[in-house]
Amino acid sequence: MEKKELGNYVYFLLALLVAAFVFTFGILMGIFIENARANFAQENFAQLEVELLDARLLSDLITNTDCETAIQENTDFADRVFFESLILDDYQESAEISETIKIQHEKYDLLRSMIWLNSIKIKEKCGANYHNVVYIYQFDNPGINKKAEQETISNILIDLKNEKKQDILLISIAGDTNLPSIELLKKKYDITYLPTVIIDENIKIENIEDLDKIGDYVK
Amino acid sequence: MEILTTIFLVFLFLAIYFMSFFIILLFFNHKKVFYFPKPNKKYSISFLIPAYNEENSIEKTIEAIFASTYPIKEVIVINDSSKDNTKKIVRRIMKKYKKLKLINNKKNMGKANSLNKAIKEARGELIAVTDADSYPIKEAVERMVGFFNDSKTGAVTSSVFVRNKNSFFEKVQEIEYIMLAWTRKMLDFIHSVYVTNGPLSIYRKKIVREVGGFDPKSITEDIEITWNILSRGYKTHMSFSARVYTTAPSKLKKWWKQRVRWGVGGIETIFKYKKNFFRKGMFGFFIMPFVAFTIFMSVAAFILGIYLIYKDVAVALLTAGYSLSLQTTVFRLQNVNTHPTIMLIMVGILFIFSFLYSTYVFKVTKQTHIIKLSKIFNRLFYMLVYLTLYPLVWFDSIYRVIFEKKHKW
Repeated sequence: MEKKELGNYVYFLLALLVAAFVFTFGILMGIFIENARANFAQENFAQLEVELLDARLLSDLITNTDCETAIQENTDFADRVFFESLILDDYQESAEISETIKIQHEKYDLLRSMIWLNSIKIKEKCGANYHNVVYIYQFDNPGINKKAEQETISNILIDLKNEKKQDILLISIAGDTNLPSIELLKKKYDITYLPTVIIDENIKIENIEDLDKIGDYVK
Repeated sequence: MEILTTIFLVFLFLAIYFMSFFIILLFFNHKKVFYFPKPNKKYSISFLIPAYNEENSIEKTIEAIFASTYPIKEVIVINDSSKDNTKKIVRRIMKKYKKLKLINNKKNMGKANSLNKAIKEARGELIAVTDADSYPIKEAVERMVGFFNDSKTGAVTSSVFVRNKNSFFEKVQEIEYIMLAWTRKMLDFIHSVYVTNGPLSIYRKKIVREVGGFDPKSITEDIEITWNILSRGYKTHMSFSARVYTTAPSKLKKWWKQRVRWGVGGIETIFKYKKNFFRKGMFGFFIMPFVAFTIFMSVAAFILGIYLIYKDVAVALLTAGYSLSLQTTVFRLQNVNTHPTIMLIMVGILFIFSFLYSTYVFKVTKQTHIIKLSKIFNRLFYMLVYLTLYPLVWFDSIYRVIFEKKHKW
């Protein structure tokens, strides 16, 4: 090999160094951005945790005269969690490098499950007539068809929520996190297929085509 | 990490690597881009112009060659059995230029055979080949011959610019040609000029004879002869200051045919010289893997892109279908993910870098009309649409290499 050609390899090596530096910087930037998003979710979660504890305490303390406040608190809280978790879903969909967001998502799923249980308790105590609409979906790799199905269900439920407002309490929970408590809830309500919509703990809708009747169930 | 993410990261790293590579080449050689050595002797040059139905351009090409600031020994037009007035026009001009000669092929022999025939008759030490629809600037030869001071130099090529810049399609090709010429010059700094273009290239006759001339079996004889020269340890160079203006295809069909021809020729040349992979210095260790890898990456990136787009489009269409049948909101702004992935951010940064890099190229090559704000659409189209869809040419080329035994052009 000629002497001059050996000099050419300097360019290749320098490019490798620069590319490695830029690439590592990019990856670190990615981790930073994803962590910043996770931190933002963490801060929101901390705030929601307080509200959840408050709501749970309230549901334990209520007497018949306090029902209206408790219902109002729980519904407002569920609404906030529902819409904040939509952002979290976006975050996780955009997360490609770090796993931090996934953990946040699981915490939110547990939080949402607690809201559901709290709501059942309030309904029992107060005999409230609002409807629990729980949407249990597949988060990890749903596939094209299922993803489209889930996006449609999500749209239907948001439309329903906008229409019925305080008459329904809308909760969405990822059903494929393998968290023992969520698995137990799935077992309790016999949920074997994702996505499934459960209305007032006794009506189960698995088929997307049956969702056109959802309005009838929450009159 | 998902498999798709890993593949994407690999692509991203390679893109960053090649971007860095070309920026480093520029950084260390920016003063030499327009440099050309002065010839240390008087080289005798024979110009060869293969022509087939070139009545519209042949006269202007001959005029451009005779206007050269470097003395030309002879100009040989090889009329490859043209059906138009090419022969008549050349005969008329011969009265004006004594150094102009005409070889008439009784049968159409193809470009490579025509050139080989003319080389036998050429008396120059150097052989300049130009297409009959290309016009070298008068200083072009003067700016190329100095590279032959090195006795190992087998071929020197020029920078091709687009002559016809009227339609949008031609303007986009103008951008492409400048970037191609620039990239080729960058590769010259590592002795890796792997194409000596048809519009204007000069060869050392002795070496052309040694390598057996132009390969008539190859449909891209200019690529083939370059690889032949390189594989035997000779050098090729590029003189960026030596410009030649050529006619870019105005119609998509003609363009497609041209590009597929280049593609098929390129792939066949890779196969012809496959034994040189990772042998013989820069040729085997860089040029061959680089060309093969560029084709592979281009095709693979396209497939990956199509898959990703298909996934999103399929979800959108299915969602729309479900939503319509269930009479619910088809599109909700809320569903649009406004939080870009880090990959998307990095691709965006890479795009901005490429844009700035090309802006620098157009500025130093004094093609400032391209960087005007009013022309930004042409540049964006070139970067986002033209380059993105280019792999389709590779698909057609690969298909033809596999399934067609003989290529007719």
